[in-house]
Amino acid sequence: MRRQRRGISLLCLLFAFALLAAACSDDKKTGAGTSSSSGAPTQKKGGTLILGAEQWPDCLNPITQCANSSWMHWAVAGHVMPRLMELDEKGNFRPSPVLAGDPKLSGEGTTSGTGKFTIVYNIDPNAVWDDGSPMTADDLIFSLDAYLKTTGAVSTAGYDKIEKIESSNGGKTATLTFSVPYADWQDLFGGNQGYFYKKAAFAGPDTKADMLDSYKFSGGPFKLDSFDATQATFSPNAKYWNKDRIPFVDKVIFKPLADSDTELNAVKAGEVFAIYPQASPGIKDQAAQSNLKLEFAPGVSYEAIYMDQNSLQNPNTVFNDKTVREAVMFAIDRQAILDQVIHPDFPDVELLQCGVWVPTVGEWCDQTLWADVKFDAGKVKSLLEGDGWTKGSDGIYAKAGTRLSFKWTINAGNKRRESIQALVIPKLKDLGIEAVPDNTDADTLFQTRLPQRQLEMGTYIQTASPDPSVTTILSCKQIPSPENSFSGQNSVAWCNQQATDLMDQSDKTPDPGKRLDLIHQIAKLLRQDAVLLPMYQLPNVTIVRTDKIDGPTTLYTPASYSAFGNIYDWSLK
Amino acid sequence: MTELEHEHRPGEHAVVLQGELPPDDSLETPDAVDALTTAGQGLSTKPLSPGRLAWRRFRRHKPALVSAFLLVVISVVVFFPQLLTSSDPIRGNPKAANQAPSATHWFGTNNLGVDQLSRILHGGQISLKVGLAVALVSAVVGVAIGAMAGYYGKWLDNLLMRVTDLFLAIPLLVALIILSRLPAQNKWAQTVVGETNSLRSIVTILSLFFWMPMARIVRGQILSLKEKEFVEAARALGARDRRILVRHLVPNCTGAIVVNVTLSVAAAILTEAALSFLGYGIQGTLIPTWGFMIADEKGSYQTHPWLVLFPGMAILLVVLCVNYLGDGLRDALDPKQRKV
Amino acid sequence: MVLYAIRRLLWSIPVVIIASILVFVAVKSTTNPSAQRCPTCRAEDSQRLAQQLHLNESGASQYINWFGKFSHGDFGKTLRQKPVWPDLRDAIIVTLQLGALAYVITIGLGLTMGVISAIKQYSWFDSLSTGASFFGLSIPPFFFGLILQIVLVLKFRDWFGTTPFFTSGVNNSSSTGLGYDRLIHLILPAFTVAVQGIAIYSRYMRSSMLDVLNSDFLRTARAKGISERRVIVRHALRNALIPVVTYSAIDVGAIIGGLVITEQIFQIPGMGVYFLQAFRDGEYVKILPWMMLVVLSVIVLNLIADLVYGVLDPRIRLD
Repeated sequence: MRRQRRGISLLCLLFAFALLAAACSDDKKTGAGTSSSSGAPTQKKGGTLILGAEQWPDCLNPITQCANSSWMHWAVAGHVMPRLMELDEKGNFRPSPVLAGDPKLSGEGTTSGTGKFTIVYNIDPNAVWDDGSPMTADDLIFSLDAYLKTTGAVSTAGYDKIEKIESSNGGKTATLTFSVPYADWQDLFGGNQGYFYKKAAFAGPDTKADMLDSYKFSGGPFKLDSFDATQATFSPNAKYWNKDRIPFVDKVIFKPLADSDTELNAVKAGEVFAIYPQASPGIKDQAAQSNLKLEFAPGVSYEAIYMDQNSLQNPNTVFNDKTVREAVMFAIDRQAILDQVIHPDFPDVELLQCGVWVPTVGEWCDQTLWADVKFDAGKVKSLLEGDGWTKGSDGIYAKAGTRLSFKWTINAGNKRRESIQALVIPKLKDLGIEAVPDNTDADTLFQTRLPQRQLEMGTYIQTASPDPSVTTILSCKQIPSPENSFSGQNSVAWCNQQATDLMDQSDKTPDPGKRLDLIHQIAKLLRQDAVLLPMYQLPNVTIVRTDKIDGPTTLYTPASYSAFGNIYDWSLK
Repeated sequence: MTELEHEHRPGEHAVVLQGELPPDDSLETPDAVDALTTAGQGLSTKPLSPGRLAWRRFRRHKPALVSAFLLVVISVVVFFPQLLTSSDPIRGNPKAANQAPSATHWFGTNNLGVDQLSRILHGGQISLKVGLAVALVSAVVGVAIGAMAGYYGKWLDNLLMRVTDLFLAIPLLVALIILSRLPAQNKWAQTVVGETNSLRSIVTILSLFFWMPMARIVRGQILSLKEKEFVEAARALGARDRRILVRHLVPNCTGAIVVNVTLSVAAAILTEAALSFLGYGIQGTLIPTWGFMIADEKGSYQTHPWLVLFPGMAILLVVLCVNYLGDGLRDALDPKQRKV
Repeated sequence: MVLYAIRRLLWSIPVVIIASILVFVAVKSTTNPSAQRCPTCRAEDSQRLAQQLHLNESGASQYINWFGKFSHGDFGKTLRQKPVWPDLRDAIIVTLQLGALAYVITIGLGLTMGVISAIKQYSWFDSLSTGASFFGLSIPPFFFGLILQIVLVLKFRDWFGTTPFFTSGVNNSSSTGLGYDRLIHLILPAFTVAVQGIAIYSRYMRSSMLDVLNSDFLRTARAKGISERRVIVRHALRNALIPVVTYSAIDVGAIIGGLVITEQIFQIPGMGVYFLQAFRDGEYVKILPWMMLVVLSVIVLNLIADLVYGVLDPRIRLD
């Protein structure tokens, strides 16, 4: 098991100016405006904090499809709902204030991958809901029921492996028994997008009609006062027991702002005090204003170029040929993309060399795998011509009557990806490879074309979850097809049985050391088969009005919980 | 008159300019009056041909004259961009990224160092093609429907006009957004209108919603023309219906048709730009349309305003010229409708 | 005339149904509501979801199901189980406010410009207003909206330190509902919606006014020695307004088109944004009633306009 506590202690040292963020100081917010002992400037209490949300959730139930909106978690649920394990700003799991100490794992499954596997959680005796009633194991038992029995639950992954939850110690100890070892246990009732719920607030376990636009309870630092299409308002949860997370402000308002342009205008005009926009080209120049601070950090998303096998758009796609995929990787000038599209705004971003993980989350990323892939005309030539491709009269390679031509799809209107296409396509042509842009609006791309594999080459971002499992996006069983009515997220249709077996194995191996080994083996196979070309970790961006707000406002920029993960620590100027 | 003529298309203001106040054809005959005065001024007793008359009237409309000239110039440089610039519209010079307008790059450069003038000229080809294609296709459809409805009357008229109403009741932009996505998943739609967001599919769906004003105008004109003596005469000579329609009636509506086609060009360019702005327009080309350029760069308007302003000005200029041209053509060819 | 009205309304039924089928087919065929992009979503989760939410039913039976409920006034629930009506109602209210403000601006400015142009035909104002109308007709509304945002909000603040206008939203954090704050938020978007209308109405009013000013009865009125001011206000204006006001009732369709884009630019949570969002999410249950209401309101307002016109102008006979 990883040592979360040690990680936290280290962080406390690193972020000494913001001891607030970690559970290291107990006397942070005694007296009005008193701050930590580290000498950080005094933070003001009171006032209304106004923040912008780039997308607006339609509904708030974290169990149903409402949960597919990241902003539902970032702008609403994350501030109200309690979690067991939580993520720190670096993407490491740690016990949340709900827990008294680390959970205890036991059973032979913990290390072996088979056999018994149990977790014991001790709930902090002070942990209460906003009406003062204690949080108990019964709430967990109810939450499990809710995840499994709610109509339209978005995913039951992991919850369906829990055999039972037992309550003891007056409800303050919960023992979870699993049917098989489950490596991603920290994401259950917490972690990235999980929570647990107050049993007394629900009529039954099917919550499909609950939590649509209000929460009747709170177990986090804030209470949700109102939510509609124009804003969401929060006030501090008076019963919150953890002194480190008592909010400074009296009220928080989230406002919907459609895209990074609208957001920038609003923050520049002072209509909102901070935004967390997507990293679009030019954002740094656009945010140049003396009272604005733009902070970026490597985030949890990465952008890659995917070469789909057995594409349903073109079943005879040239990408069915591994040599072609390999050659195309060497024909794409990643360094030029980085230099011309990314670096003007974010000079520190580096090439991502490990496929579908990112170096800042855990140790899963092996930065040597794609390191040899550089723009290399000679290599492209030798790979292709060595495999029987010859240049036709139009300057494009062909083999057995097939031209080396494919369609490349991005969501139109994304300037970053459009720039990448504009940069790469002419260079490919020089090398005898034809890429035809076949762009479409984001909705069609992500709702039908990608899930139904109507792509040959695609460029989009994926999010590296804190847990390293890639089963849902790369295993054979998750390839969408007409037979399974297009369910599953392995849209590149990479099926390598050896890799799939390793993925299954790793999902059942809670031991981090053993798991790391398995993950690295999967990554090697991914590189061998030239499935995708990772480009870079997309930076997360936070833009704050320095004349309006104070506190560790950009600490959570790289975090899975968004920059707004610690707004309880934000105060007004 | 049994039906009212003053409905109009949402978003299609060009047609409104034609003054769809209830036509009042019983009154004035400005053609005759004009002919008399012009003839008088011209110190000639010889009557002028209708074509020369129209030209005289058009010449008096200075903005239209200037616009026509500008449109010719714009079309030439858009379809032959090498006349103005030799810069590549796709490959840029990374060292010259985000440059403000200068002697080398008149319209500046974008984030990849691509010359913006070259991009706008190449991108304009699509915008202009869309405008022309939609206007012509919808004109053919509109004239056919309007002529049939007006000439045959009775149930056919009723049916066609109700279909027209039907199309008029559907909000234009929303319908276009919905239709633009149809080919994405439907093979039949793909065969009919072409691939999603291609030039062909966008022209097809735009045309589907641009024929109604033409149909109404042509119908109205045919209604009054078909009672005129020359039609009686043709009929008495044994001409068949189709011949009367094609040889006698439709040619007499040329003025109104030309004017309406011109104004449709403007409306189509504007609508395509709006569609592109929302992300549903023509895609899949490395050089975007004007509307798309604005959508792409709308965040840059403070830091690199030339990236937004020039495509915007391009649309504005072309549409303004087309509208003025239409106005002048109306004065020249269709003086009866010179209400507005 | 009653018969005529009934006939027209009956004709609207197929229009509404065709429009709704079109919407249904397009939305169904371009969205995949069980498609998910979440780290822990597996193929079996999507399949369960499709089965629980009846996503695999045939399109026809889904449509008929929906239509049956809708015809009984039940707007249904979204894929995410949220009732449709409350959100749609909120969106309609916001849009009506924006639309009303835009309408007032359109009519107010458009008619004033038209009247002055007509009275002072060939004056500098007339040329200016003619030029401005052509400009207003030719500028893409989204471009105009962007320019308003740049000049009146961002540049304005650079120049004067503060600005009364806003780039987005309908309310300040401190207030909700109607009031001065809402009005100020809506003024730029309303002007963006109105710009084309102003152009049209000023041209329209000008020509209508010119017709009246040159008519015989006004000459008679003048001849009787009635003051010019009185002639214009009491006689000319009134008669010139008749066709224009009737015409104005049928502008709903145009306003709706303009609203979709304007609301998107200014982030107004009205029907335009509602539509775009619902279309993105593949929520046909949300778009169908939207479409029904819009098409119906276009038809009804068209009809009213026709009827009013028939009443005002006895030369028109409705059959």
